[in-house]
Amino acid sequence: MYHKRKFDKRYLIIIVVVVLAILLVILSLVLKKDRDLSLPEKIVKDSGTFVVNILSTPVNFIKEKVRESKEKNQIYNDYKELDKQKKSINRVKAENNDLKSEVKKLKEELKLDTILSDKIFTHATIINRNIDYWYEEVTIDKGKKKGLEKGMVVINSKGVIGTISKVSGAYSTVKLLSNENMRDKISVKISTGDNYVYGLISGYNTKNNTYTVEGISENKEISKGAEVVTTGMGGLFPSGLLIGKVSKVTTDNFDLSKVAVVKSAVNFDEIDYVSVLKRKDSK
Amino acid sequence: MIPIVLIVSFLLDSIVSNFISINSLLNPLFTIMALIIVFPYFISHKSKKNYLITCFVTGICYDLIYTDTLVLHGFLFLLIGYIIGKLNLVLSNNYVNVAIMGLIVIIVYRLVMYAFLLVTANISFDIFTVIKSIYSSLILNMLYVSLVFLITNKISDKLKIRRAN
Repeated sequence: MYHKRKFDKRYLIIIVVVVLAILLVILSLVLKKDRDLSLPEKIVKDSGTFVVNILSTPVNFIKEKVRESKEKNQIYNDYKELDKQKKSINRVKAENNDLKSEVKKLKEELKLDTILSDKIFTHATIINRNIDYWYEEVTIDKGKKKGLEKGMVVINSKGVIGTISKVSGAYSTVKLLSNENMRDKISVKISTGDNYVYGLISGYNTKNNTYTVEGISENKEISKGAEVVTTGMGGLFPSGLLIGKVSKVTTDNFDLSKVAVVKSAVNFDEIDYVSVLKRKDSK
Repeated sequence: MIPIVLIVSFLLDSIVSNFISINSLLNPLFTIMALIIVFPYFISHKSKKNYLITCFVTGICYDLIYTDTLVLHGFLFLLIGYIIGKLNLVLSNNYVNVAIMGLIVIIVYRLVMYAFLLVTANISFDIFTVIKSIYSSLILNMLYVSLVFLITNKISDKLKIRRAN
């Protein structure tokens, strides 16, 4: 008599566990943020993004028109503000020219080809931003063909946005500074009048649009509203890029160093146009 | 019908997210909603296997174009396809039931995705982030799935396209 052998449920559990384990291993490899895209991925991403971009054009046109009308109102208000500040422009211009010539002389004196604040710009438009990765990354419409490379810094008119994490032929992915999982600590300096204190950006709060700056060891008074800019140290960010303004100063858990809460200069919910920059010395 | 619904929803996912604020209660997940809509069209041809393959391929395309997290959405969409199959065994196809399926699928998608990201990508977030991501996706997507169900029903009746009930 033939008896059909029953499938043991224990095997099923083992199979499920093994498949799940393999899946987790694969995912932990592919979810590494700094991995390079493979060639097929680049091709599919380029062509897919191209199609999405074309279809988004009419919607973006309407969005742009609405934005323009809002900006017109804003420009009028700015104009009135600038009109008040006009008087001090000549003085600032003279100071700027003076500083430029001083930097030039010092560079000649020290035989330097580049300094930390030297940078070259490439302008780009954000064409794709997934709702699930809103504060993580955006896609811009410039890629390898325009000379963009992994690690280049991306800014907008307000301040630093992030760095390029993946590059394909015609598009690039920008890892935003608002990425809560920001592992690359960024060196910044906070203005304290005539001097600066130095620290590291260690995190970002999406609710308040603020950065946390840690490791401020110097016991100098940091005033609310002090400007926070990049130092140029670490090789990734050129110096003098605006990060934001200090909104609160506290101390760390051990009361050893100061921790500054910095209101970001960039509103990460409204980024449309960006500039990619590289240091003049980068190859 | 199947490719049109999938492609249009896939593209709308990106287009809509461009002009809806992240902090609003209208986060689009149209591609996932499209998987609910297309299920009866596969089943009318007795091809559940093809449906699951379509879910997986759609997920891979989603990964390649929108997220760069290759295979994550492939497997998530496959799981969602399986769940939609099971839900269709107990729920008949009508406007209310597709909205209920949409609700269940959104909850499962968000929970599983965050669980995967937590385990594999070492991303830190609290339970409130997950809850917020769920309730902020409900209104728009449940409306979308009901609306697309209505439109596809009308077209299918007019063109006599077979679908399971």
